[in-house]
Amino acid sequence: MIDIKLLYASVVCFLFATGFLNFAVMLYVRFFKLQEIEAYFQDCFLIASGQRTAGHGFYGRNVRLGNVRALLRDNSSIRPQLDAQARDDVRRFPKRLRLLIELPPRVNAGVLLGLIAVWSWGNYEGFY
Amino acid sequence: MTRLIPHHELAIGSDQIIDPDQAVYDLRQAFNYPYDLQGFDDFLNAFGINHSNYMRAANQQKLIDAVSRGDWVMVRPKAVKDSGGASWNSFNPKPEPAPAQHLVEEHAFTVPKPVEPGFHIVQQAMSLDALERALYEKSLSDALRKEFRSLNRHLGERVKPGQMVIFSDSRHYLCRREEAQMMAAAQKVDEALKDLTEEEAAFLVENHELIEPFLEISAGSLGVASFMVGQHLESLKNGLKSLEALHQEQFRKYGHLHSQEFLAQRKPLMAKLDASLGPFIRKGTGLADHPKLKRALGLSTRRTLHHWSKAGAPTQLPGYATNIAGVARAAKFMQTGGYIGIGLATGASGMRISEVCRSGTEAECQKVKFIEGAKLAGNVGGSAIAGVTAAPITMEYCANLALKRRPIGGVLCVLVLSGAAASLGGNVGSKTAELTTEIIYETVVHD
Repeated sequence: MIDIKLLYASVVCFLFATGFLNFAVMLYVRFFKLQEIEAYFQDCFLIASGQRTAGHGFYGRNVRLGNVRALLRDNSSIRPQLDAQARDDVRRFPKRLRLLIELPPRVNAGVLLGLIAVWSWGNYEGFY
Repeated sequence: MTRLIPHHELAIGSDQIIDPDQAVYDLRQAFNYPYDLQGFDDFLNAFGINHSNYMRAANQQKLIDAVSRGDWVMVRPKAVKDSGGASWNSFNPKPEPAPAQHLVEEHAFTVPKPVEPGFHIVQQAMSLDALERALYEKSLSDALRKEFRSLNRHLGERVKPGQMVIFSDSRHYLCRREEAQMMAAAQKVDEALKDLTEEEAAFLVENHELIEPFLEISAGSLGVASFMVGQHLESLKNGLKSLEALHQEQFRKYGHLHSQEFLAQRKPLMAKLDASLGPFIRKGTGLADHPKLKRALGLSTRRTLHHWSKAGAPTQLPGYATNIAGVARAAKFMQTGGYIGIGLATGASGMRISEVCRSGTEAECQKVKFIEGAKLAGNVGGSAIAGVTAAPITMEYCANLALKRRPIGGVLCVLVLSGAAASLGGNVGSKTAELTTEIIYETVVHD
């Protein structure tokens, strides 16, 4: 029979490992894929000005990717105010890159929820 | 002097009631001079608000709504009716009524009442002489300089941002309780600022209001949360730069700023800025100005002066000096991009390890090394995961909030929510990592 404490430990290890791997992917996207992503938005002032003003540091890249994410999000407060050309760019944006942008935050949220669940489980079992 | 009373206590003639529009205007004025309006304290108490938080936009709105609805009314004092020497008075002589207060004050031969003391918060590092020149509109007389320096003995030859400069009306001949309280607050502030460099102190003054919500967060999470602050400020800076670039580009292209293209491109930029600008308009300490004292002392109108009651001395209501030590510490962390926060948590873990290793056995030492290391990694990792997850959600939520209720939404909303998320994630991560390492360690050692 599997010891419940070992099961708990393995779940936590899995969650942290997933979290750290996910961070690595996020860094990879910011530092190696951002230019390719932005190249798809030829007619969007938000992206163009982000490239000019935000720079190439960690924060700057984060801000630029945030702009792209805001454009791609379905329910964003920015999207309805986009001009027509930028809307075409959003429609043409490739799926694999969209996945690279949208998946990591979801995995992150899953890890966070998992950690909270595991923590609640530990409390319930009286491990702490 | 006008007075605020609840509507149900109203038992006076209607000619004394000020109409709601005028009352709202007077109330807005009273936010800056609360001591000029009788019944203001009762008014705040009725809404569970106090002097330290009534300047918040949400609270002000609540108060204004109550007056405009007529739940609270503003009344003027009863006018003394003069009979104009009518004949019946000769049978019933009355004492002469006291002259109206405003006539006494404005009379050329009467000395006006001294104004309540106040303080100024230094905004940038400079010499004491330069500060005096910046504060007073005219050059200081020797007597005034002597008085200024005796009140501000805590200031050295060079002043640091964040330090308090005390002002008092020289028509108060004696040293007053208010001044003593401000001096105590100023000392407390100086104590908190002494370890800060001038740049860190300037950062504190600029972001005092933003930093305060982070005071309850642990050092490790604070490190992560401060990255979020950095990111937000960077995003704000870029938004403003983009807007400037758009204006220039469009003006070059069309020679005007009415084109459809300009309006379409400006909208998303404005939406982003709306989400973050609100409180920046009144950034700093969030304390109200005290213009009466400025006028009385001939101080420069461009400098902000605060009423003495906002100083936050040890025996006073919460104010500027109340949380200054925590804010100063947090400013130091944030100025260095959060590395110190994480470094501090690492230092604390290191201290616990060395303490156990010094007094305990080899096995205990090894165990605590594993556990403390995992706890730290869990704390930083957990806050990072939570912070990164919360950032886009809070931005979305706060943007909506900012668009609906501008004064509340914005930076504070984003920062408080991501700070809370980082703190929660840090705690959960630290607890789970600690227990997991303990389980693994016990399993490996016992096997």
